Amino acid sequence: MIFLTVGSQLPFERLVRVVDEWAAVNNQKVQAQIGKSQYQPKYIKGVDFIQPRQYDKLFKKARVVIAHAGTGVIMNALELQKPIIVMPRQEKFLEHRNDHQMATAIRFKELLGVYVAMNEEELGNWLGKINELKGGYKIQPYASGKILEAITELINA
Amino acid sequence: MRVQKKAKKRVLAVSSSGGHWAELVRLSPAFANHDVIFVIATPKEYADAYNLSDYAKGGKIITINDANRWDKVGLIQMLIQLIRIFIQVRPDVVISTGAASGFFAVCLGKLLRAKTIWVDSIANAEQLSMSGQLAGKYADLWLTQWPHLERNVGPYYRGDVL
Repeated sequence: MIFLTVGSQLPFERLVRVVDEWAAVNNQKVQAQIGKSQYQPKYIKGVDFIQPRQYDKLFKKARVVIAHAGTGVIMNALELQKPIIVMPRQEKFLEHRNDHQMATAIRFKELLGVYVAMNEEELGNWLGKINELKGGYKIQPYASGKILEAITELINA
Repeated sequence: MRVQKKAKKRVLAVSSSGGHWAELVRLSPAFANHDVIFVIATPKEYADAYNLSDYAKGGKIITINDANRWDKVGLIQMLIQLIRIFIQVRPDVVISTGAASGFFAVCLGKLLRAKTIWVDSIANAEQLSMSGQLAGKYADLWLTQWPHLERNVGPYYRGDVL
């Protein structure tokens, strides 16, 4: 099973459409959280919002996660060492208020296990190789080191 | 000799849902030994899901309206809800990872003489978020998670939530 999520705040039809068309041709089972989307996928199982507990279950079960380039979902994938394909939202398509996801995608690209597609074509390429994708860089469930020390220091000062 | 005990503080940890929230939870070991109240700005229809979640074990969770800079009415509602929470909780410390909700919280915190902390989201790899830029003036600790965005006058870089 492949899990697709675009978060819960905004739809991301460009991403959902490509995955839907790919799932149709390749007969892939995809479960998806697609937000309040005009485009309703035909071949993947998409709902507006998935409760956090169910979301966690699907996330863990999925062989690969496909998502917008949101830090929450990327960190979740790194924690579980789950391969993740991400495509950034773009302001020019009215997919977000600014282009910060482009910057996020470029920066996170360096981490093993994060497969970045800057556009639909690159997304298609990763989908074509989906069976070869592997998890990589692992993070712990909580932050550590300097950043926690800086916060603790101020709180106790 | 009197044994000095570190008094527990009231910490208000505020963020929007999604990545901001995930980052705030990742930072929680820094304040988990205090009395923590988490405030999450989330669309109303999803609020119950967060109330039920295991995300922030031990901490109380309050949900408020979500709004961004394109929704002025929503922003005002959010501010009013936050003011009510501040009156009830009287926090000693306010910490946020963004976005609009966190900016308001840090402003209110400063106004009420709490210690204020802004950790700009790791998502802002090219420039600080708009709320992050504005929050600098009100944050006692103003952090970016990208070394190339650090400046002498803040924001400062002290690692990241990964």
